[in-house]
Amino acid sequence: MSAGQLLRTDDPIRAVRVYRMTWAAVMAVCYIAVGLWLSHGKGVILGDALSRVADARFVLFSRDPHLAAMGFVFTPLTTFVELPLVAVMEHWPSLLAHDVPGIVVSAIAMSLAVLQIAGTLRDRRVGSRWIVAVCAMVALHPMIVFYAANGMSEALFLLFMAICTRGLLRWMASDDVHDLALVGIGLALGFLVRYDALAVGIGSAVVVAGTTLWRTRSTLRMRAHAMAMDVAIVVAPIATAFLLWSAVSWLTTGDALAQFTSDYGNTTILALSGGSGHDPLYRAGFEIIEWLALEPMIFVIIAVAAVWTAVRRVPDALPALVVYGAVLGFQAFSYFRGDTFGFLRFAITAIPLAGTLVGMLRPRQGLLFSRRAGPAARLQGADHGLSRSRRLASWAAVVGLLLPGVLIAPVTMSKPQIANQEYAATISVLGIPASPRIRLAVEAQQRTFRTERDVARYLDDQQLPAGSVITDTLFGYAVVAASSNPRQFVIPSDSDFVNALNDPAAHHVRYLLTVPDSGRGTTDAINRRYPTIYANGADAGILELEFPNSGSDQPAYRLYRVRSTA
Amino acid sequence: MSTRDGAASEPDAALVEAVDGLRRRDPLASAATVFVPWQTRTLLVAAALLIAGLVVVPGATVVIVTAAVALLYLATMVQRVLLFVAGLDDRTILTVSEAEARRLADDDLPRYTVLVPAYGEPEVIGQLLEHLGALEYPADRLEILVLLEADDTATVEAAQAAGVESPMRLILVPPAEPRTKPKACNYGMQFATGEIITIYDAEDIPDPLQLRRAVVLFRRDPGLACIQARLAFHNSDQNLLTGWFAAEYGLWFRYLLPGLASRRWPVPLGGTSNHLQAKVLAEAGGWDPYNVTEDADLGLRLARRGYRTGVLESITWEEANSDAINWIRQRSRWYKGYLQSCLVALRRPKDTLRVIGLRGTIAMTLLLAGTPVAAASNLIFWLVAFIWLLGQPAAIAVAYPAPVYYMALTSFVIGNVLALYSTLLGARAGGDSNLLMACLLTPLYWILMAIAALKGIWQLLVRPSYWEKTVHGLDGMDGERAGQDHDHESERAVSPS
Repeated sequence: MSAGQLLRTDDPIRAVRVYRMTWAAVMAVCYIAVGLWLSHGKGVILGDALSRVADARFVLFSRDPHLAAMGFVFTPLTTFVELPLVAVMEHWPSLLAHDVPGIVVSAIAMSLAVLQIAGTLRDRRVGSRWIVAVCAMVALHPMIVFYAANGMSEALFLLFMAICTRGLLRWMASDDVHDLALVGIGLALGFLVRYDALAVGIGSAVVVAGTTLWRTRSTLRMRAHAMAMDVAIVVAPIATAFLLWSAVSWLTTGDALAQFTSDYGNTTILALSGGSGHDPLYRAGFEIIEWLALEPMIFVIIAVAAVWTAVRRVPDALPALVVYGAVLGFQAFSYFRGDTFGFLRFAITAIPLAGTLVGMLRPRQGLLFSRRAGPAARLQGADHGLSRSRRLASWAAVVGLLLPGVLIAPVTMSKPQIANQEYAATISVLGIPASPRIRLAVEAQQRTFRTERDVARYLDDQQLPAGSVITDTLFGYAVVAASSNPRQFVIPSDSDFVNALNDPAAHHVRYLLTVPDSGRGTTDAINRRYPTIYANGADAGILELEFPNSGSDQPAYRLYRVRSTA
Repeated sequence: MSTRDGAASEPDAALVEAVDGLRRRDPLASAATVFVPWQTRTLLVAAALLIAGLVVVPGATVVIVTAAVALLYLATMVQRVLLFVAGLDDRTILTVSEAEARRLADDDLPRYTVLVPAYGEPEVIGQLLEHLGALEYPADRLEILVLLEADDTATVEAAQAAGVESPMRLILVPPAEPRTKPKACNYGMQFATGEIITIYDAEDIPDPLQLRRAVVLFRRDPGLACIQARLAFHNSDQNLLTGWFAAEYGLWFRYLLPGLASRRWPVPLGGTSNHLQAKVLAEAGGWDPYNVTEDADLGLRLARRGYRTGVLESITWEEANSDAINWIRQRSRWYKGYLQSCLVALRRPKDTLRVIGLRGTIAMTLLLAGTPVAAASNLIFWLVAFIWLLGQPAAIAVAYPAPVYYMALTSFVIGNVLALYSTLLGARAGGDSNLLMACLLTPLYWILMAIAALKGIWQLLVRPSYWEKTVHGLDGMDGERAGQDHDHESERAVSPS
């Protein structure tokens, strides 16, 4: 054996690597195809997804490229992952305008997430055909398909939550510190995608603490040490990520918890959009309905899992419940208190929760493979195979518990009251009949961002030099994303933005792109500086063009030419 | 009880062989000269270029230097992660069960030589008998050679008072420079009759079955030339420093060394408990008396000659340094030795590359030379980072254009976070959950390491073969010694010829 060659180990998991990668590639390609059809064919593009692509563009190709241009309002990982794709697609701005980098990232992330769920089941050595069936119920669920195809951060988040669940389940059997480290790192990366991971971190810490305390065989002092160490391993990465992120945010913007407190953050958006609406009881009921809309059998599944756990005394259902349940619980609680919107996508974790819990119904078979099992490991599964009746029952569970979700979701996702952001895509793709009012609303959504592309094209045609158009990115991100000349814009992440806004003529700014001073537009930087600029130019500009917006929830832009001081 | 004082010519020949043997037979393998001509030339040219650059194009030079260092840090970080992952699989550590070790019949066992070099340790020599007496090995096939310097009367008298009897033998090494442990071991080798040789320190407490386990392993895998047992500290709870040291050793012996061994890369051996086949040791030239970490050097030399090392799960308990000044002395000697060993190993780069391979050579260089150099430059860069945080002065901004900045930032933040996390993982995997606080406070340990690295590099240039003795017995296990002063830092000038 020559130097450098790793010891050949007969790791059974390596044997299926090609098989897994093929599945992942197939899923990713399908999701990307759906995404391209949605964004190019049907015109459905979600604002949050497009703004992340725009953020990536700011980092690389704005007048003042720097990493902090990503912004600190939303956690950075999604944008960060999109950076190389944006760099590659820079010369085709129509791809950027249609959110293609986002679509690619969310497609790959979601297929990897499904792969992780499959891996969780395969770790338990249950039958592979059944695994495919369970995972298909997750991968083909309309909500999952939509969020794999639209570039939102849910897909990446589900990937890391799936990794956490898998690691936690493995650790509970193997007592292997590396599985615990996987949970820790999954939590940290999950936090960098969405801050909901903090709730999952707390839940995981509790489970880990309890498990270690209970199963370590030693003096009380050693058990306390072991518990402290295990909790440290799970919690240290996410704590570090949180501290570093807050520190960087504070150093750069002066605001440590920008996600919550900044003018672009959750609290402000909520207030300016009229709040969550309704009274708490209504909100609680609504939240339950959202869960049922995605997985109508979710409560039955949880009940079955609880009974199963009590009967067989095996804690296999616990990791999924803790991880996905923490996200659901946290969102429900925030919505209940009125701190967040009641979006259907916040309940998306109900789908992998249902899938994983049903996957736990078959008992573990054979030996769990672990690289470095700890002292309290219990790697042995059941020695005998499944009896015929049990096998049939498990297939019945897939059909009876998971299939309803896949079949009912298209109906529930087409109702605007429940699926505010998804109904347009569902109705237009599936051709579901709807009332004329709803059809008009759907068509408006399909036209969203078309106006922004027109604004971008108008400005591009003028072949303006760098720094000619000043705009805030509250709504203007869509214009910058679609433009073939991003350097013509002066945006808030540019270091000279404030000075340029104060004296546009001296900074050779030619145009101001303004939005109405109402609703969310009141936090627009240009409106803050010149409160009447949209209405009458505020002595700073002369109206050049107005762009009535054909999309929904987007403002009518007014382009003002800067009045020179002479 | 027997001492050695035979005919005048015999010990002289043995002594000469011990001191000069390696140097004469294979001068390029000896650290008697620190830098060979081509190395000296390269260093001088590099220094000249640096100075010229700073004078003529200061901006560009600073950027290049910073970029090079940032790359070095990044490479070290990546390599440690890879090593950690490679060592993850616990099949990289070789295990022999108790039953298997005992199953070997006494007649089946080969002759074993245990070398125990000691210098200025009258107080621990008594415990030696107890600890090594527990070794489960037939007395007629075992010889324990206790190597003492002839003029170290305190230790010699203490040993004789404690009563040295077969299979133990006292060997008095005639006083000669360099006054180092490897020279004593080389001398002792002349009198060794075993097929397998190992070294223990005077205060070590080896696993009683360790010798048998080593025999089983050698038989199981005839291609193995050397087996390193795991070193661990019995006083990890004594204070923060011992906790740090214990966590570091845990990581080293449970992950990094097995990772190196599994990839067939050079394994720097530990100071004790390395079990070598006698004929391999003879062929490789013995230990280098001019190298202050002769164990690391031997490990590299074995690899360069194509021999394989394995890591055995069998613990030798040692005592961790509990005093910071003493620790710095020991660690600076280690860093000096690492640099010596690396310089020697790279003297014939083509040969080394051919035998060990490119990745192995890079791994070896990063691990041995990169560690002290990075530790030393840490102080400078931490200072720079601190100043940058306070005021972002333009002078620093010049040295860090965007790519360099992000590289440096990544290795600073992510590298350090990963290093700390891997310490946690290593401690937990070994069941040392009591080291949690020590692991979390590891960054302070890095400051100590940085100080030791500066001292080591300085000594490399000024006093390369000076062996700074580590004081042992500070763990309070032996109550009689309270109040005694043990400063063994007497000037022992060495003139490498």
